[in-house]
Amino acid sequence: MVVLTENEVRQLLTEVEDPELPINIIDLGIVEKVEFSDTGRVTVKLIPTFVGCASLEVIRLRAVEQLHRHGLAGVRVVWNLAAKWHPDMITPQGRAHLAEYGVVPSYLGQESKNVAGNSPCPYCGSNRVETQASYGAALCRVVYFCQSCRNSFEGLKCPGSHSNQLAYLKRERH
Amino acid sequence: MTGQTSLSPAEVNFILHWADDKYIMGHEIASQTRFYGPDLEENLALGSLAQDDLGHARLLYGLLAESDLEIDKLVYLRSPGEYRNSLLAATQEPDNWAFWVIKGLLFAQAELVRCQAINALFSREPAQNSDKAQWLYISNIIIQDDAIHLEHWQQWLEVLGRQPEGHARLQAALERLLPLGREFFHARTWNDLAGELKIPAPESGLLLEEWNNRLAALLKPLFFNVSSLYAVNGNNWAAQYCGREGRHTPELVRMLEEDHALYQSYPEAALGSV
Ligand SMILES: [Zn+2]
Repeated sequence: MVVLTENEVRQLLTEVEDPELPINIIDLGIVEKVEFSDTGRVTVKLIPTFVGCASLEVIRLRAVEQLHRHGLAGVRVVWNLAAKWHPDMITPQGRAHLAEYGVVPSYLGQESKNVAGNSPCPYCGSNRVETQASYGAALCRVVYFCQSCRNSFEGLKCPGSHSNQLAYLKRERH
Repeated sequence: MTGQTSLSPAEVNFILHWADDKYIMGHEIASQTRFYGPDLEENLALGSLAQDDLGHARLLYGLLAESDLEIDKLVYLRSPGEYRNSLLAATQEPDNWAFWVIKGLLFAQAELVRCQAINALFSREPAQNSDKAQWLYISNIIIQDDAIHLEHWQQWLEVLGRQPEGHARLQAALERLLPLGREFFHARTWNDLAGELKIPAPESGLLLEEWNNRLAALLKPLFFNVSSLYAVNGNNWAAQYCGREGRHTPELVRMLEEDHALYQSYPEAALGSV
């Protein structure tokens, strides 16, 4: 049986990509715990973003396959429903990859501990950003509009994010 | 995300009501995306709301199943008469956006009342054993998501309610849907569950009253008449059905039969195929 340390398991999981975004699951911050039983059996606990996310099972299976390939035959990968994900859990490297792709962590109606200012534009860095629509092309997205460079871009939001829903209908029409 | 099967019949029944409500509601909301909603933004919103509901349903079915394959069987191999969803989740009215706004509003509020009652019920239990802990995790996830659904439908209520025609259509939908609360908070479901757990039942009449009061507080300031909330026998149309006992509308039966036929033709194409 292959014996790995927690860090080695985490290192292997950096090769598991999210199916919807250019980010691996370690950088996304959804690997909560790597646990070892007395018999050496490994359990990886993942934090779900949205429970309705269509990719949950894909992510779990990718993690299982990756660890199987590296000799962890009895590994269990489970979603921990008690844990909550927050955009602050994305690593700086993960943030950089997302920004290249035009996606920023979103703090709709929430405080961020790490980042000054809410979701600046990934193209020009401006903070003159408004929420264009509270729902986007995937469950975890919000659509922003940058007043400075006039680009739209997506925010990656977490469950429980409140925003001014239907703001687009209530805005004054020009 | 699959669970234990050491549940009593009352517990299984209780979870089925809950899961079937979420599954059918998600299905019905998703069905509206093919009409592109009132606008593109709303179409995207509908897709997200439906995905939340279906995700909740999957977690709840997971409490009853040992594997994803068993979840598929619960969803696709039960006959329509074995479904236990409420009429509120199932009812539909194509081409009437005001109807969907009221349905969404009433359902989200009912879901919040149900989940908060579940939390209250199990916090009274002395030992927080692990199978009830799963119920509580799921109920807290639903409270978080449905609070946002409620807010979404409330915003539509304000937007549509500003014009006389919108207000009249919303009022008509309210009169049709408000009396369905009684069936949603089906008394026997709660009594059986509490009886088996040997804890005092929350009176289902009190849950209904809580739902009524919260809705009245939202609706009255916007000049809606809520007298049909308190109508005891005011809905002849609804009286012929009882979703909690498996007597469903012909539309729902047809939808489930289509769903099941598709699964039986392509069993390997199901969501949880591992
Ligand atoms: Zn910009």
